[in-house]
Amino acid sequence: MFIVLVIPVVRPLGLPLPISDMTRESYQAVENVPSGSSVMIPVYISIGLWPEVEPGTIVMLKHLLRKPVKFMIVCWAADEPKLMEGALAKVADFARENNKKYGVDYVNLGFIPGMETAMAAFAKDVPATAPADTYGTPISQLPAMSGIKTAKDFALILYITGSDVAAMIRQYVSAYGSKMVAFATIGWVPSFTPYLSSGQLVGLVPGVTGGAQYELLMKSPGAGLATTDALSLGFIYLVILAILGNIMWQYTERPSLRTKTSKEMS
Amino acid sequence: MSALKRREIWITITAICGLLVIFEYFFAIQAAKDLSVLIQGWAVTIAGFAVGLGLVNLGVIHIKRFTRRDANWYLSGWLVFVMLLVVVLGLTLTPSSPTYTWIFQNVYAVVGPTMWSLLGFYIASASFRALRARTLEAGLLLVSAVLLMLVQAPVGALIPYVPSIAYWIRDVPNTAGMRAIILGTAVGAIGLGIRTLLGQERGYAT
Amino acid sequence: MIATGRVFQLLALLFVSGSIFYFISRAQKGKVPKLRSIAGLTAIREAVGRATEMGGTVMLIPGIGGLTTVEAPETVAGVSVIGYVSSLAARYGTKVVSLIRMPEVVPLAEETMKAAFQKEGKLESYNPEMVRFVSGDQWGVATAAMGIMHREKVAANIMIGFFAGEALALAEAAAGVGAIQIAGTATNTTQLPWFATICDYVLFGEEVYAAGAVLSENPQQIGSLVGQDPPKMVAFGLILLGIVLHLLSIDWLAKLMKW
Repeated sequence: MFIVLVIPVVRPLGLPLPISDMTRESYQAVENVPSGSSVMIPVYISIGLWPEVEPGTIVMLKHLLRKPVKFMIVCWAADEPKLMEGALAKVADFARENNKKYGVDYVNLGFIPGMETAMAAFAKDVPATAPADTYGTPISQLPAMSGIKTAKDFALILYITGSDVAAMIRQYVSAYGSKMVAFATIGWVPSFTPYLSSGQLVGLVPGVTGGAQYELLMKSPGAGLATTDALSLGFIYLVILAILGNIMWQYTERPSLRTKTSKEMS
Repeated sequence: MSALKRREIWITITAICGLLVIFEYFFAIQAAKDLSVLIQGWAVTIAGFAVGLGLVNLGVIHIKRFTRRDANWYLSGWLVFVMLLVVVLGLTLTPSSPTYTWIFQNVYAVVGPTMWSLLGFYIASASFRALRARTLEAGLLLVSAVLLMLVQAPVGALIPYVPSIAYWIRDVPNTAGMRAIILGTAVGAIGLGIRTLLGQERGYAT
Repeated sequence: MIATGRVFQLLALLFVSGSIFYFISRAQKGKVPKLRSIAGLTAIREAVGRATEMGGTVMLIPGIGGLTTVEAPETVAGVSVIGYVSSLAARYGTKVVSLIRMPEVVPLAEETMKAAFQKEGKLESYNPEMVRFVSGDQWGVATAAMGIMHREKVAANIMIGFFAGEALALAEAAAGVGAIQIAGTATNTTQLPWFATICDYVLFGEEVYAAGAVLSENPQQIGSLVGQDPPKMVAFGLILLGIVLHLLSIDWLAKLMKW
């Protein structure tokens, strides 16, 4: 398994990568955000799963920095402000090239404890729930936050998650009619398809694969594209193991076949 | 003081706050909204203290293990030391400082994904050992798993017919099953809410 | 007065709450409904018996969830299973160990296990070390569990509660030591396929809540569980009606639900 995953990272194979409808719709949703609007980026992901969504997050931030929109990051767990600080540092050059400044065009509001309670409180009254950013600067001094009062003031929500999306759907989509795209780990995709088919999610970017596809759409290759070869081989290896396991089970452990073989041999 | 310990008081407070927040959601009354915002703000503050409480709890348990020389007591000592170090650094230098950032990015942000990566090897072992077509249902699970794993592999999505069948499995039977589970969970959550408001939820009201 | 677009939601909430409240009240008055038997629960006794014969340990993991979030009912169900298994373990003299991830669950698990031993008249056999808070991190719990499975010869692994990514690792590790496994989870269904393929018995979704209610012998929990059935039946009826109306291109039901 280790060999199968490491070799393509060290020596890329250049395997093709088709772009899924999910990722294309997500890209379009961000592309369609009107000029001058504000976008909310809530984050709820454990540090262990961060590498899976990081490529998608980086390219999504670049997409937002390229557009005349503002965005604010808010975190529902304690690890995430530092993770997003790291992500913003990785796109700092891109922000400078596009004349985007922290505080004016984007803000990191940091960690708000309480999970769904925090989500509900933030949606209802943003300034009361997040009176300062993660560095302690009052939001009254941050032009990026001007005019933001409730969830209705966000044109789009880009939810970065390694967990269920139901709480955000309840507190934002159902309550305020917000539009939401999820940047989720691949394991959660089957659980999110009902929300996608009902329109409660307008897009879904699944894990590293989705991040790589987004990089292709943005024409901005990054860590996602660099690992798709490893991902391809890894999944194919698992499929081979599953098939091989069944073939070996058929010829060794399955009772009727073993008896038949013994009879034939005698 | 003993009157304050009566659980009926706390259950009543919980019920009033819970019902007010529910009332505000359904009825467009400004006074209810203002009160709801206030209560939810208090809840966020309490949740912040709960994070600290978790830290203290963890510290107390591991300090006891260290002082009593229980099994692997030295690991408990190391945990307490690292925990205190990071807390002190965060409070004195702030989380934005280069030292704190270095520890976060080069220790914590590395150890976490490393632990998660163990799962890859367990998945490989489970794919070989556990995905056996012993019954019809297990066979269907195997076929679905193989197709969906293939389509997750970017190059696997180029194999003819695999994407259409795999996406059908994901978008039709899987979505139907997930909808049922979402409905069940939602109704169950209402049940949990009612039991909490009535003070009958174990673990909260005991 | 009622906020726009929330009338149907309010009526639905009132109906669901009313049904649950009605059945809780009935249960409190002694009319406790009967629940169907669940294979996984019946197998728990077999699992503990097997561990006793082999001189092995029974491992109990009530999930990695806490008591203050949506996972709370699963965690409570897991703790109810701890109580039941501890009774059996006390009766048969089997070693039992429970691993906990969230600190707030520890006192509940300790109290439940101790009460179980006391009920069997074996309080002197109870040891607080049987309930172990190993880490606040899910992978810390998983790696600790894997180590204990090998060192303490775990012969039965019972995991009922909320699980995330570590579920597969736990199940595989227990399978590696040859333990009989009973697992169940309700809200995080992404782990169910792994439990279904690796474990001997699985409790799906509502069965976890039913297990908790049955084993706790708490009438309010059983009443609450049964009270959820009428709303589900109504939802099923609405789905069928919606399918028929949609095929006839009639949209009044969709409009009603957005009222």
